[in-house]
Amino acid sequence: MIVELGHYSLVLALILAILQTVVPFVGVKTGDDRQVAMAPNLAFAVFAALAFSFTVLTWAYVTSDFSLLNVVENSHSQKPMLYKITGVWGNHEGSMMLWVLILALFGALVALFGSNLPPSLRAMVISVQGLIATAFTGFILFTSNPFERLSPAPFEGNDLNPILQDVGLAIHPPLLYLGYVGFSICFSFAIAALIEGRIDAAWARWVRPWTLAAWIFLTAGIAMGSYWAYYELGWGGWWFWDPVENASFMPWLAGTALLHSALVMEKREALKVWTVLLAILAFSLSLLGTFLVRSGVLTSVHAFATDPTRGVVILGILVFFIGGALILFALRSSSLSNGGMFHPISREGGLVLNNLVLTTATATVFVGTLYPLAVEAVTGEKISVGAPYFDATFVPLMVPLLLAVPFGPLLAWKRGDIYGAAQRLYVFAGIALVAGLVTLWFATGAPVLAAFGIAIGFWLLFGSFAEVWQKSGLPKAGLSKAAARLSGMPRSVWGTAFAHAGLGVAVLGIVSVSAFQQERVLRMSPGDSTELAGYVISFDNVEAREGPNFTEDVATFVVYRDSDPIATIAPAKRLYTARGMPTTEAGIHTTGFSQVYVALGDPVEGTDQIVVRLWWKPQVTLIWLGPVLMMIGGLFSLSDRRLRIGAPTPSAKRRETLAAAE
Amino acid sequence: MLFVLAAASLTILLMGFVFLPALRGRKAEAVADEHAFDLTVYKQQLRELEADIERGAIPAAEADYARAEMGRRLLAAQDAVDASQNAAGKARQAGAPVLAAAAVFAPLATILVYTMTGSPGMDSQPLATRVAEMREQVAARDLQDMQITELVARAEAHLNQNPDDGRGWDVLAPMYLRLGRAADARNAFERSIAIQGESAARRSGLGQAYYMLAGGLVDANARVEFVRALEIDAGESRARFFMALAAAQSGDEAGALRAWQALVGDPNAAPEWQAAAAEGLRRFGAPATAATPGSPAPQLDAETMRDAEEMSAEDRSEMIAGMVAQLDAKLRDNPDDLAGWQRLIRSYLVLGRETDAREALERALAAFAQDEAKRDAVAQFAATLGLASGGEGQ
Amino acid sequence: MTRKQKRTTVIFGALAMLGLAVALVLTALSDQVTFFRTPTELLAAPQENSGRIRLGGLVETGSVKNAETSGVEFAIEDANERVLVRYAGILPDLFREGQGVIAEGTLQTDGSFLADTVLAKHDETYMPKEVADRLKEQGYWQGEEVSATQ
Repeated sequence: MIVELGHYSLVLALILAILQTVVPFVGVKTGDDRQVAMAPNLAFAVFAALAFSFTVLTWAYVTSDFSLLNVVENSHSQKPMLYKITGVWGNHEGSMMLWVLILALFGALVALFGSNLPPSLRAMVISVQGLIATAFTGFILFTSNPFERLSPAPFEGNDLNPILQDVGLAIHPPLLYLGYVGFSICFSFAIAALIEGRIDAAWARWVRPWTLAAWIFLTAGIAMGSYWAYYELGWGGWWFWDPVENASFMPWLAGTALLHSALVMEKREALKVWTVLLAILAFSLSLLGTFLVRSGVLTSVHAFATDPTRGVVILGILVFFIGGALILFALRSSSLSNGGMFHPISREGGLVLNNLVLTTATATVFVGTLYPLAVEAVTGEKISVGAPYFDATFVPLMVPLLLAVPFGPLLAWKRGDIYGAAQRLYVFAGIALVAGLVTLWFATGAPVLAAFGIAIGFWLLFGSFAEVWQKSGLPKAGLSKAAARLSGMPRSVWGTAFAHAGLGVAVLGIVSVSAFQQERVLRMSPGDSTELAGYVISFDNVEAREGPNFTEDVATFVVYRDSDPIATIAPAKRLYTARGMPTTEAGIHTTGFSQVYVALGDPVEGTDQIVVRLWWKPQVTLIWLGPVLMMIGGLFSLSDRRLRIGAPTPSAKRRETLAAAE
Repeated sequence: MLFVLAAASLTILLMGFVFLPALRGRKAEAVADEHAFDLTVYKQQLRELEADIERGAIPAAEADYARAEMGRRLLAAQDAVDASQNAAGKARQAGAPVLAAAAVFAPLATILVYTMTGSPGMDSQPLATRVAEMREQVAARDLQDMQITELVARAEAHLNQNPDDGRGWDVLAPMYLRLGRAADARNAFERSIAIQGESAARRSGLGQAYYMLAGGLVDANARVEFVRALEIDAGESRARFFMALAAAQSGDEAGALRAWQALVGDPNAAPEWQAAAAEGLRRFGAPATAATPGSPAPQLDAETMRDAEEMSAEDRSEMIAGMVAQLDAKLRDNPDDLAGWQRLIRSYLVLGRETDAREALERALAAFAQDEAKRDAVAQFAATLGLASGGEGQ
Repeated sequence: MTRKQKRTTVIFGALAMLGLAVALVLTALSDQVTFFRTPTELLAAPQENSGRIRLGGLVETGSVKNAETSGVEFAIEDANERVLVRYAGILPDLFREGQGVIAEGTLQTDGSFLADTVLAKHDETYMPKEVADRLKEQGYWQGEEVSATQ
C-alpha cells in the first residue's frame, strides 16, 4: 500500500503543481489577494507531496521491494545499505525524481524566506517555479515513472552499475542538482520580473542570495564530480571536457557571470537587461545539461540512462522554457529603463569585462559541446571535439580575465583609478613574478607557459587579498587598529577575497599537474620496485578479497622515501558479481598537496606480472581545494547581513486605509 | 480500502493546507504595499553606504555621488508608495470562481491520472516480508500434511473395522493423492468404485493415481480412467486437465493448449484445475520457462501452483532441482520404491541431466537385483523414455 | 568621455572579445576536431586521415597480445578490413575481444595505428554510438563503452 501511496502522492504533486502555476498567476493578474496568499502554501504542499513520494521510493529501495520495476533494474538485495539509498538517484527515473524534489525544495524555500519580497513578486516567482515543476513531474509520471509495478515480482534485482557504487554518488548528484536547479529560482525571478515589468536595484538584491546559494552548490557539485572521476575511473584525469562535464560547467560559468552582473545592478541599477538575460541563460544551460545527460544524444561515459523518446520530450520542455523565456525577454526588455552610467575603467567596467569573458567562454564551450551534434545532423559525418579544442579556445580567453581579477575590487564604482590600483598591486605582481622565475629555475626544462601559469596562480592568490590588506591600513595603522578595521569589514569583502584566491589556488593545481606530473606504465611482479619522482615504490603482493557484493584482487604497494617506508597503497581490481562487471579502484597516497596514484591493469598472461600505471601528481589536491575556498568565499558573502533584508511593516496610513476598507 | 482512506486523507490534508489562506480571508493579511518593499531595500542600502563612509571605505567625492543616486531611488520608491496608497482600498475578491474550480479540479484530476498510471490494489512487497511469507506457507503446508497424515491414520483405523464403508474410502482416497501415496490411492479409489459404483470424480481420481504411479506420465491405465470419467461427465475438470497433459506428452502441444485454454475459460470448472491448466499454458506457451511435458509435481494442488507462478524461471528450476535432489536422497535410504525410481529417472531426463538419469537407472536396477518384476518394470519404463537404447533425453 | 563614447568603448570591447573568441573557435575546430573512421574508411584514404582519428570497430578475436615493452597490440576490425593498433597504457576494464572499441590516435606510415586513448564498452547497455551505427550499416555488430586515457 505504501508504494502505491507514494505513486498517488506523485500524481497529487503534479496536480498541485498545476494549481501552483495557475492560482498565484491569476491572483496577481486579477488582483485577488486570497489567491496570491495561497502561493506559499502551494509551494509547501508540492514539496511535501514530492518529498513523501521520494521517501516512499527510497523505502522501496531499502526494503528491496522488487515489485517495482525501477528497483529490480537498479538494486540488489545484497547491496550495502548506503548504495541501496544512493541507488535511488543512480538511474534515470530516480535522478529525475531528485531533480523535481530539489526544484520543489527551492520553491518552498522562496515561500519560507520570501517574506521580504513584495507578495505579488513572490507569487509570480512561485507560479513560474510551479510551471517548471509541472513540466518535469509530468515528464516523470508519463515517460519515466519510477513507480511502475511488476507482477509477479522477481526475487532478485539487476544491481546498480558498479561504477556508481561509490560514496561519490551519494553526494555528487544531489549537490550538482542543488546547483543546477537552484538557478531555476533566478530564472523564475527573471520571468516574474519581465511579466510584472518592474526590474530595479531591489530586484537584484533579492535575487542575489539565491544565485549565490545555487552557485555554491554547483561549485561543490562540479568539484566533487571531478574528484570522483579522478579516483573512481582510475584514469588519473580530473577533467575530460566530456560533454556531460561541460553540461554542468556552462551553467556554472553563466552563474558566475550572473553573480557579478547582479552586483552592478544592485549597486548602480545598470546592466538590467543583461542581468535578466543571464538569469534566463544560466537556467537554460542547466536545462540543456539535463537534456544532454538524459536524452543520451551524446556519446559519453555518463550516459547511464539513455532513451530517445524521453529525449524528445525533454527537448520539447527545453524548447518551451528557453524559447518562451527568450520571446518574453525580447518583448519586454525594451521597456526596461537604463540605469546609472559608468566609465569603462571602474568597478562596473571590471565586472563587465568579467561578464564578457565568462559569456564568450561559455559560448566556446557550448560550441565545442554541440558542434559534433550539429555536424552529424547536417553532414552525417561523425566527429568528436576533445580536450585540445578546449585548451586552444577556453584557456586563452580566460587568461586576460585571470590577470584582471585582482584589479576589480580595487576600482571605485563609476570611475576608477587604474594607476592607483596598479600601485597597490605591484607588490603582489612582484611575488607572482618571483614565483614564476623560481619555477623556471628549479624545474629545469619547465616550459615557459608553465612558469607563466604558476605566476598567474600566485598573482591571483595574493592579489585577491589586496583589498583586505589595503582596508586594514597595514602596516601603517598598527596591529590593533588593523584588527578592528578587519573585523568591521563587511563579510562580502572577505567573500570576494576568498573566492578569487580559490581561483588562484585551483590555477596553481591545474598548471602544476599539467606541466609537472610524471607517469609510468610498466609490468611489475611482486617484489619489483620502481622509482618515481624521488620515491621508490615497491610492489609487495596481490591478495584476493571478498566484498559484500564483489570480489577483488588487492595489490599492496609500499612507498619509500630515502629507503624509509612512508605509506602503503592498495589499488584493486574488482568484479561485481551481479553484473559480472569489473572496475578499477585506484590507490592514492597524499603527501602535502601532492599525490602518488596507482592503478592496476590486467595481469600479463603466463607470468606473475601485472600491468601497473603510476603517477606522480604534484599539488593535485589544490585543484579541489581551490573550489573549496571559493565555496567558503560564497558562504561568507551569503552570511553578510547586507543580503538579509527585513520585510517592511505596513505603514500607519496604509493600515488605516485597510481598516476603512473592511 | 485502507489505501483509499490513506489517499483521501493525504489529499484532504494537502488541499486543506493549500486553501487555508483563502478560507481565512484577508483580514490577517494586512499586507504592506508592494513598493514599500523597495523602500525597505533602498533605506538599508543607504544605511550601509553611511556605514562604509564612516569607516572611510569610500572617498568623499564618490560618497556624495552614491548618496545622491541612492536618494533619487528612495524618493522614486516613496512616490510610488504614495501613489498606490491613494488607489488602494478596493476589496479584491474577484477570484472566487477560480478557487472553486481549482478545489474541484485538483482531487478529480489526481484520481483520474492515478487510475491511469497506478496499480491501486497492489501491495508493497518488501523482500524480507515475502521471504517470511514463503517460509510460513511452507510451514503451513507441512502442518497440513501432518494433519492429513493424522486424519488418514484415523480413517485407516476406521476402515479396518468397516472395510465396506464406501464413503470412508471416498474421503481417504484424495488424501492419499495429496500425500503422494499413489498405490494406496489407487487401491482406495478402486474400493470406492467397487462398493459405491463409478462416478466421474472417482474415475479421474483413479486416473491421477495411475499417473502418479507412472512417475508423472499419463500412461494407458490412466488414460482409460480419464476417458471413462469424461464419458460419465464431459465437464469433469481433473480428467480434462490430464487428457490435455496426455496430448502434450504425446506431442500434440497445440491440442493440449486448446484444451487447457478451454478449461481456463470454463466458468464451471474447478478452480484448482484451472490454475493447473493456466500453469500448463504458461509452460508450453513460453518456451523459455517450459520445464517440459509432464513436469507438474504429483500433488497438483493450487497452492504449489501459486507458489510456482510467483517464482521466476530461475527460482522455479532451482526449486525443481531441490525436489529432485531430495527424491534422490530418499531413494538412497529406501531403494525399494519402484514409483520413486521411475519419477527420479524421468525428472533427470526432464531437467536434461541424462548422465544422472542413466546413473539412477543403474542404481534402480541394482536395487531390484532380487526382484525381477520390478527390475523389468524399471528397464521397460526407461526404454519407453528412450534411455536404454541410448537415444535422446526426451 | 561623453555618454555615447563610454557606451561605444564597451561595445567595441565586447566586439573585440567576440571576434577573438570566434577566431579561436574557428582555428580550433579546423585543427582539433577528431573524425570517426572505421578500418575500411581509414584504409581507403590513408592520406586524408593523417590527423587525429577515432578508430572504431570490434576487437579482433585472438589479436590481443602484449608488446615487447610495456604496451599492448590488438587489431580493430569491421566487415572488410583490420587495422593493427598499438597502445602504451592500461586497457579499460571492459575491453574484450570481439566487442566494440574506439581507439583514438594517429595512423602511422607503416599502416598501423598508434593510440593514446582506448574506449571500451561501459556496461552491457551502452555501446559507442558511432560504432554501433556504422557496424549496423555494415550489418556487422555487437558490443558497447568506458574509456581510458593516458
